[in-house]
Amino acid sequence: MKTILTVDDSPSIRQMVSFTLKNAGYEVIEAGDGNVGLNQAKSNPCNLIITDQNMPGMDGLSMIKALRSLPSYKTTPILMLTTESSDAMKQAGRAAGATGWIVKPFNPQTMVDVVRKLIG
Amino acid sequence: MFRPAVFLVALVLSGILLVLSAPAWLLPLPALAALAVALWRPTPLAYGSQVLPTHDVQQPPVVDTRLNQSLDTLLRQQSRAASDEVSQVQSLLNDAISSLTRSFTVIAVSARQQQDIAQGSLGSGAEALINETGDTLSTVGKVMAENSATATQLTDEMIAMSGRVNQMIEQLAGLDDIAKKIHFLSLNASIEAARAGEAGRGFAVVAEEVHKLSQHTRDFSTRIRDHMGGVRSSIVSMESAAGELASRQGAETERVRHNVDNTLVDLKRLHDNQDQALGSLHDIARTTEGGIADATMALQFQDMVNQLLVHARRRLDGLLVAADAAAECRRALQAGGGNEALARCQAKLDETVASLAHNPVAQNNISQGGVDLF
Repeated sequence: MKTILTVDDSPSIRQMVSFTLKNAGYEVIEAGDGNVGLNQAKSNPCNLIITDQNMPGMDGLSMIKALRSLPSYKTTPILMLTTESSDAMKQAGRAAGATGWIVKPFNPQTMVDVVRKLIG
Repeated sequence: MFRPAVFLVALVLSGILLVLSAPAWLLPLPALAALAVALWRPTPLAYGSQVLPTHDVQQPPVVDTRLNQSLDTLLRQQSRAASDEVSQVQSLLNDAISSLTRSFTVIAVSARQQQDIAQGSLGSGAEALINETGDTLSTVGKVMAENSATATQLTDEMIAMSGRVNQMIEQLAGLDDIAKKIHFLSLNASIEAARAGEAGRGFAVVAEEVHKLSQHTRDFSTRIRDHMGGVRSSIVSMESAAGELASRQGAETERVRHNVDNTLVDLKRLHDNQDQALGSLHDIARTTEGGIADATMALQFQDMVNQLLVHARRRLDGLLVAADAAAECRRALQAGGGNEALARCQAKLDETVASLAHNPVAQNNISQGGVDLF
């Protein structure tokens, strides 16, 4: 079973992402901010990561940069899931190494479709 | 109060000049004088959309100082109170939405389990059972029909066998005739042996043996006839039983076939009803899943509202920063700090405004956000 890490400071968003992806047959682990997410990713090999941008501690873009510096996460798909929708922010995400950008609110089926496209 | 007074004086002067029929070029003079006075007032410092007043070198009157202090106190108190209330709203929203999300999760899981149970009880298992029952009933009906045919065939065979036994009994009469003729022959041989005297004594012994043979033949024929009579009785009984069996089997087979046909029709109807029920369940499940997907999207408003509230709190904190800067600026001015104090205050305010410029939430509704894959 493939493992997905969801990083968001909102417990309800984590709960919704987790429920949506578990129903689609994935194992999901959660983290409340970028620092915890980075540690979770280091201790649990993940096939895909979905992260928010604005979080206390470490934000999403900083976490992506830190993950991309690790050999094991050079090519792992990382999706941003955020309220931020400006082109400038998306460009920053792309430059940091994000694989894609999903603007909240997310549609559960769309999220499952995107995840399946990326990791099957 | 200063500028309205200047304009009022200018208006009165213009009226007097008009009454005195002064030359027309003198009429705008008071207005120009008023404009000059207004332009002579120092220009306030621009601060984004807000305006920071320039310092007045004169000492502020006591009433103004008290008013400023009251306003400052009010601003701080209300900002803090508003910030606390925003926190309270965040807490209430977090609690309520977490609870709602858990509830929707439970509803979704329950709906899925319900569908699985229905699928298990009405789905392929039930369909296989219905098909198997139908096949079994068809087989039972077919076997009973075959048994009925076999019973009829058995009856026919019994009748044929009974006829053959009768023929055999009739043919036993021929054996009796032969025995009777041998008996007469042995009698004649005995008479002829007695007539021959001593010479015919050996022949008399043969005649006696032939007589015994005819007697044995007759006894044997009688025993066979008795046995054949018993066989014929048994065959008649069997024929009767087979006939009764065939008759009963035929009636029962007809009844079973009728019942099997009815049961198969019922099973087909049950199967169709189950198909219909399964279809309805699938529709309900799809509707439920759609509703849950909509709810999942709608519940994400909490995250957006929460971020907006955090931003609103930061704005309230910005007001406190502005109040602090203004107070510091006033103190510096009172101590003769001048424009240097104003510049510091302006820099502080610029920094605060810059930090609040970016609103993390652009959405105005909860319709689905876009997806970009890089």
